[in-house]
Amino acid sequence: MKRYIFLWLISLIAAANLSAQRTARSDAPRMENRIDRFVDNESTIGQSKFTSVVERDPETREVIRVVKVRELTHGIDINACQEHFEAESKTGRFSHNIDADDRHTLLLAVEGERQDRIYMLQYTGKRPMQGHDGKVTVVIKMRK
Amino acid sequence: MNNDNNLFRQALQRQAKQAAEMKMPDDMEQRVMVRIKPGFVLRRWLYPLSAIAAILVAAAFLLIVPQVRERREWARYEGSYMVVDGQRISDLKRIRAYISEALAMAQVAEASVPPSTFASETERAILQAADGPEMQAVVQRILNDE
Repeated sequence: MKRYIFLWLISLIAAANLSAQRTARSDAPRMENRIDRFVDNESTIGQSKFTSVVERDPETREVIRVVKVRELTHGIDINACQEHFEAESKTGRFSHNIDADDRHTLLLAVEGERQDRIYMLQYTGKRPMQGHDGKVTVVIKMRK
Repeated sequence: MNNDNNLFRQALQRQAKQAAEMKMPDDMEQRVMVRIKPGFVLRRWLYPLSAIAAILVAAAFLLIVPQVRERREWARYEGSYMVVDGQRISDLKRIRAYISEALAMAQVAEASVPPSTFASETERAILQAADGPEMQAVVQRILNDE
């Protein structure tokens, strides 16, 4: 009888511990931000083309990198994307470069516990609303 | 004496008759060729047949091996897909060009980020080993100065 009570107590403690770990994991801040949600969302105004590439280690088959590219053909989508970049600029290293051909490149690098993320928005045009040839790239590199 | 000669002549005649019955040709080479001829006809057909078989095997090898190698190279991108105007395409053969394009964009993005942006595994290990937030801040400052 004593043995059964002891085993029951042990399993209760173990279950409580597991439940606490699960809660802790779900409460941990997720890596995804506004830019990720924008890229993963399929409802853009212009014609939409989205590419997701999963790169694996040939021997272990572990995922080492995920690359997502979304093409933006409409100025409104480019403008919305740039706003997300500016909103998330404080979360990592942010830069905005404009070259001689009015080609804008916004870059955001965010370091994480298990993965590092690089966000890049490129478009041509003086203003985002009038921009065209927009492409937003998300690179997710897994840490070992 | 005459009797002996007669006996000898009869023995020779008997031998000649036996020889005639055996149908032994005078030209031994002709006799050998008759024997070889059927076998020689079979072997002649074998040569072109074996040549064709060798060519087919070589062609199959040259065609299949590059395909197998290519399939193995692209197997590392299993799970990749495209969505074009709401339609999902996950056939790797169809989207190879777009996969290459996406990887090129990723390379541009990675090259544009300064190398010191992300801490290396060694730096992370040192930071984790530091005792307390104050010590970690000191270690971080030292790593950034380097």
